[in-house]
Amino acid sequence: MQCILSALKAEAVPLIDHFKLRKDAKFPFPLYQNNNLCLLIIGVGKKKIEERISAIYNYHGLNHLQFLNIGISGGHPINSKKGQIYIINKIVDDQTGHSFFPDILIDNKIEENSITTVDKTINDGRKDYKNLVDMEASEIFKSCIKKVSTHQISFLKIVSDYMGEDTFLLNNQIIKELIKDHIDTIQLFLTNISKIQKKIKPILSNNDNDWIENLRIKLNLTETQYYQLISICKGYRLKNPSLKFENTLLKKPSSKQERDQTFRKTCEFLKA
Amino acid sequence: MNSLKPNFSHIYLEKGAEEYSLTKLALDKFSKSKIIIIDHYKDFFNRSNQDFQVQKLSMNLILAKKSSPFLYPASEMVQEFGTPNVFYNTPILNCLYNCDYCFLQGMYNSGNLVLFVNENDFMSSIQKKLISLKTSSDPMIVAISYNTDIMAMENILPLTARWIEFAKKMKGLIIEIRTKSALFSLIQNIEPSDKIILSWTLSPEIICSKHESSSPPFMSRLNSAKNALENGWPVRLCFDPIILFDGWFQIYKNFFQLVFSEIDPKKIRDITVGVFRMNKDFFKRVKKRETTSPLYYSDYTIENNTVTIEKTIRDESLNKVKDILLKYLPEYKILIWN
Repeated sequence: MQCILSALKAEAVPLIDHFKLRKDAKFPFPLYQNNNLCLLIIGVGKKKIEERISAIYNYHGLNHLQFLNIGISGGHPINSKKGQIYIINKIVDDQTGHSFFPDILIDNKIEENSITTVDKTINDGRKDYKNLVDMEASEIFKSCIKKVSTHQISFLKIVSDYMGEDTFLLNNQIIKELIKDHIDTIQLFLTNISKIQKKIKPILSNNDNDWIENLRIKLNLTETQYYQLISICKGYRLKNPSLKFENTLLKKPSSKQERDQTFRKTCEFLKA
Repeated sequence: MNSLKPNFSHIYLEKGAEEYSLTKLALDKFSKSKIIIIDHYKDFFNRSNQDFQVQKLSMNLILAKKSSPFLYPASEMVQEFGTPNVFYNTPILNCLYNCDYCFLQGMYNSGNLVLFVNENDFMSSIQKKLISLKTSSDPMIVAISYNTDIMAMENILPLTARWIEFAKKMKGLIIEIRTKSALFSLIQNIEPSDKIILSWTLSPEIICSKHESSSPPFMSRLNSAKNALENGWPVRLCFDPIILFDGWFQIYKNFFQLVFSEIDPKKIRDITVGVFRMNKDFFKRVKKRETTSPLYYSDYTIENNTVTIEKTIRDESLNKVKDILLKYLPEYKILIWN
């Protein structure tokens, strides 16, 4: 599952159209989804980001969720070109000075750049920011890293202006066009980063987890026994990738001793 | 997965590390890499929520300056060396290889490598220690490849060669360079010295392919060790960890036979032997990261904060190994961790 995060509706619209996403009315904020892709509008600035990301993460309950921030940013003429897309390798929070580093593991042929996240719009042509500038990236990284690993958070930024008078010329139509121009790159990027997640398969399948859960309930296992069982089942699964766990019709034990005995026998069988 | 970035596509350069000669060498070597400036190596290396195994698919290099300490007392996980003055240092954190049983995956958050470029500070601290040792009649042994495989990096940076040249000049110092690499050829023109122990970890091919898949195969390592011996270097062989599995004994028996049919045991400096063991917290962390190595789902015991094979099985297994090795070497040359 992949989740695009955009600050503005104008950034989101070309993506919603291209990926044929539908609005999900269950949420109190704008969320668009199809099978394996969702798009969350986080708003401009930092304030709503953590709450919305948490809501999406908790709803999907997937630790292999990939977050991708797509949006426009300010740039500096010495190291960026207007209209060009960049993948972000370093984020500096202007307020705290802290730096954040998304992992870039996939060869996407997209030029890299660093970005500074500021708290207020810059439109006075300030040239002391030598890299890209936005208002969300650091907060997105800080919020996502609480949920997923560093390689599951990516940032694609399209330079829309040089933070001078050209900022005032930006309108929804221009922003939509900037995103639209890179839609193929974005699609390819999403496909490529999904390959990494496909490589990381959990040891236990859903069926395996159901079997364990069933046993836990039937035997009324203690917390320690439950975690022991998971570990032993993982070992069994690695040794026997295609064997099913035996469908035992266990009776509910009448005493703790009986439960412990059945548990021990099950473990011995799985370890053999 | 062919769309991955090659190893070291990104170099994270710590502020203050720019002017060191090792930095310049590394940047020359990886001139196409993207350089990202960082304030401190820990800002990148110690990030929370990294995936060690995913990062191993496309490792990056961090160039940094280490602050003291530059020398640590030897871990209890290593065999006795017959001298009280045993230390290790960390010129590199992490390893090009990624063996299933390696403690590094439990020790570090990151699969990336840190190269400390201020090698003179490491060397000076050894010099100072040599002067201050209480039992200075015993040699000081420093393992320089404990948290890495320094020789595996030799075709990237000539660190092994530089450390060998340093050790040769230091009276009373012996350095141990433990490796699984097949890159001995890169240092074979250096004059051998009894102040350097070149230690090859060897495992039967079935273990190499199953648990050491990113390391060179058994025969390549054996050939490297053989070349080193033929060139006159002191060579230690490390059969460590011995992995216990159904039929392990026969496989190891054949393996020892093969090793000593290629290498004259009389020429070997010594041998180390041990079973799988790992610091309890590292073991827990590896397991929590959902490792797919079956090694972590076997039965173990915990002794002195170390996860290892239960003592009776361990003693029995190591005694069987020792009995075989005694056919090739005298007892004093066999160092066993048990």
